[in-house]
Amino acid sequence: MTENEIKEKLKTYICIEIIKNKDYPLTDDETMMSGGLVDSFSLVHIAVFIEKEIGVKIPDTDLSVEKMDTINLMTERIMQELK
Amino acid sequence: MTDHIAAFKSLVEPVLKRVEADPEQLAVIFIEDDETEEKISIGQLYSAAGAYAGILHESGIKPGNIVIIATGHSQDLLYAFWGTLCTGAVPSVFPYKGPMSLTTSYIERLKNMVQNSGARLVITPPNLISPLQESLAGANCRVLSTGDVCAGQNDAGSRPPVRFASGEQIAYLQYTSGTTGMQKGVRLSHQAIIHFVQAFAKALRIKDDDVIVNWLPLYHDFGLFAGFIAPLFFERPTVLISPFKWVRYPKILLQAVHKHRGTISFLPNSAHNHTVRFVSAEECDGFDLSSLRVLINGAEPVFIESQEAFLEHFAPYGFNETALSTGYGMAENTLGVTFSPVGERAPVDWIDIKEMQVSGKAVPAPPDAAGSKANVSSGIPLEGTEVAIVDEEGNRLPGRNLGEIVIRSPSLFSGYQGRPDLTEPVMKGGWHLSGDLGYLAGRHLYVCGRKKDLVIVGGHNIHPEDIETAAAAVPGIYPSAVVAFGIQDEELGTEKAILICGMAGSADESRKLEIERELRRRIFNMLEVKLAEIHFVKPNWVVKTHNGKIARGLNREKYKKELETK
Repeated sequence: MTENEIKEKLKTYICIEIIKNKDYPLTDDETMMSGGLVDSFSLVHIAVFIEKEIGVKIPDTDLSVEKMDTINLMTERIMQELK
Repeated sequence: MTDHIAAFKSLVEPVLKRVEADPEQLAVIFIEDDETEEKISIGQLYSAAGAYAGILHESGIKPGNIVIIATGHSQDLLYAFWGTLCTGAVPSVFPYKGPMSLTTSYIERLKNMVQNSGARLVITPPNLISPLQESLAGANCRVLSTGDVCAGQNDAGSRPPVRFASGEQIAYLQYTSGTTGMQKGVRLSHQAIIHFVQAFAKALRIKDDDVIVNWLPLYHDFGLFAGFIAPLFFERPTVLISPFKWVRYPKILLQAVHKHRGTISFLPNSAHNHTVRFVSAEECDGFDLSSLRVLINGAEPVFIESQEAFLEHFAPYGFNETALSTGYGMAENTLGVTFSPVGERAPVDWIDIKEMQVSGKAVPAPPDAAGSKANVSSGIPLEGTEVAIVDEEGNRLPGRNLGEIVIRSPSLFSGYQGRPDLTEPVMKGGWHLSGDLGYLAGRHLYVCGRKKDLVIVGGHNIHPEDIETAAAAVPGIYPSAVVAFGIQDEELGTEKAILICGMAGSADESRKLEIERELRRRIFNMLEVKLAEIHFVKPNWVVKTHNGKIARGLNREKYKKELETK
């Protein structure tokens, strides 16, 4: 899976399942946690989605605002595991 | 085995008594974030509390002073809590800094609480010391690092200075969520808490093989009183799990029940849904949940669908239907008002929806029929607690009539900290006006909604005023046309927060998006609540009362008709 495919997968999932608005123009550098779009329960949903759909397990210690706040950060963290 | 509790005058006494009787007795099994377990005996707890008490004493903390404990899920929280009590001071546990919290907004909230409570000391982990000191510069409040206290190191010589408070003196300050204007510090006396614990022990029919398993955070009254303080009085071990770990892996609660033969645990309604959704059958393989005799669903409205789904999912692993229990309460009554009788599943009352809407009467109706609604009982009053239902004028209503739930009991609070103006309207002639709506059928209480406007998201109370105030300050919004309320989210089993904002019709889509982002960011950083939906409307969309106040209930109804997305 390419970096762009991962970004698109994440965005589609987050817009439909978390933000509940498929037309929400989520950008790659939009802060989703400190921006109030994703809370700790939603982050669990995202982590499980990444595990099931992308096959990457993000360690708990990295499930934080510092490591997962934007699509760019999430993708970067996923790519580290895929390399 | 718990009749002796009522004789205590202070929260410190049962700990002292146990230390004298058998210091090796197991008090807490503490599960760290990395899942390592530590067994803490009552002697260790007392000795480590002594280390805190000594430092607090040296720092000039006097009886009655307020000490904020902001350590997060850590053993230091337990020691600092009892250490503070041993000096006669009043602890208050601050919400944990979650993986989602930015340090700057966390410190800002902590500072607000210091100002609101008049606290003299804050205990935090070493990494927060310097930003907190900077933020509190000039305030008459010191900061203590957990790193500077040698608690937990086995110092047998360490004994707290025993000068604890008792009786009507304040033992604990329970903060309800909210920003400066809405923040309420609920003052609870030693005797109020002891009375609650005694009645809770009776309701649970505590036995000598009981083991409590708790994942609820200790800054929440449910976690603190049911999961930590009561078990110390019961002389039964309690297993304390990190709430963040639980959110990520809800199976750890079941794992702890299995491993430690847990008998009593607590699970708000949304947590039932979360557990069913995120714990797979394979993960439960080999689990035996048959020891669990009481699982209390409380802190938010109880739904039969959530209980049914939980039962269906976990019955194959020994979970007993009779463990499905419920409770209702509020911080103003220490924790609990009613609990369903143990040993049987909380009863369900089927009523006619239309009759309820038209006449406010709970008329029994056939189960599962169209037009019938299932209400799960929140239980019967604790011993010593009286519950009544009153109309708008305060007149008592007969059974099966919907009205406001009012409470009188020896566990009631001693007012809100420094806010007699907020205390007075909710206390009338010794009765606490809960602001919740319900009816009584026999001795059972059925909670049906709220008179006061409050959004309960996953057991956390959010004042809509706080959301509205934050939103009104965002440029581009009409400050007088902002309304927030909660809507039940069936998938999550809890409420979701909806915000409606009046906006000038000329704003284009990109401007709206910019404002939406600013609204979400501000509200999350102030209140740690995620807005489920934001709707922009013309300012005159928002319904107001004749004297110009926002009518949240009417706006909620209008939203349901016009805006709700299915």
